[in-house]
Amino acid sequence: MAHAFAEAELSETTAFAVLNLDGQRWLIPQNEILSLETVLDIETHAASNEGEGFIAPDPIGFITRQEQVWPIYCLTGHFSRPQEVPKSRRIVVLLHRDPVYLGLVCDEIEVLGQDHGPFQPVPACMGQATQVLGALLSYASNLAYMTTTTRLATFLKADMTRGMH
Amino acid sequence: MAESGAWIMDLDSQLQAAVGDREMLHVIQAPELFSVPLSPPYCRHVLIWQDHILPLMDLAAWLNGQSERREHKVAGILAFQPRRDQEVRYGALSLAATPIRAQVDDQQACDLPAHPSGWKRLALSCFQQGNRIIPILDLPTLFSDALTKASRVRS
Repeated sequence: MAHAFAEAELSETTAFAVLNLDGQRWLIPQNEILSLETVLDIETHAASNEGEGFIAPDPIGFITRQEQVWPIYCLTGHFSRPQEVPKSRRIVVLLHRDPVYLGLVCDEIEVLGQDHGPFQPVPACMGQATQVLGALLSYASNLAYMTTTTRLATFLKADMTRGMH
Repeated sequence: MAESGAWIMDLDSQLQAAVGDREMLHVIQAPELFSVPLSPPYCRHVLIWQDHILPLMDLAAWLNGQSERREHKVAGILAFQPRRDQEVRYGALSLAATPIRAQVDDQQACDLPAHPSGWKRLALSCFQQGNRIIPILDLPTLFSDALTKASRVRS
């Protein structure tokens, strides 16, 4: 639901990982992270079962784990597509939430500590942000954006359909 | 003759608007802002006020069909209640200067200005103060998704 505060997503998640992309902090439910890989493992071409986990065109490459091909995507901290993969992107986070498999490159990753305020809804007046982001959090003197595998997949599909970069 | 208090706000060097005196809670000079990805050009930032994360609306930008201004000098913290049975909510409005309090009476009521045309979506009513026509803001609409929808229609 586009403008609903992500209460359902938050209620089923007890822990979040903090992904750092260009200094922006994204929060992803830890139970959607299958593994962390290095960008050196990204292959240009998919293995034989290419397409099974495919959700959107133009991945930067593929990683095969657990007999599953994961398309890998690169986004800036503000959810746009960079011209090329920044050198700071060293880690690949493999995400899975049925039926979506996707990987995301990020600069750093850490566990969200307990010392933070409550998650708050993305204000209804903030347009597309309400769909891609499930909640906002004041964290470490900054702002962090909660999103999920499902929300990212929906965004990547829509983004490519519109040709937005 | 009914008289009530209002805060008159400069949205930019040309546009003014007003809210009721109980709707303006706080004024912040040079607010610390945080950008939100994928947000519309007239509402790119939030600020944190008393542990609430509030959207900062640049209403002048929306009314003029422009991108958000680069510098936000003043933020007015506003309270509103979408419906009587709902709890109070908060939002912030980017202002060009510190708001001024005024007493307004019924005889000052007038028609909304024709331009910018966006006023008719956002104004509850309007009054004349000196030679200025000042719309009174409908805050629940301003901080809803109404502007996003209206922008989609305009574009």
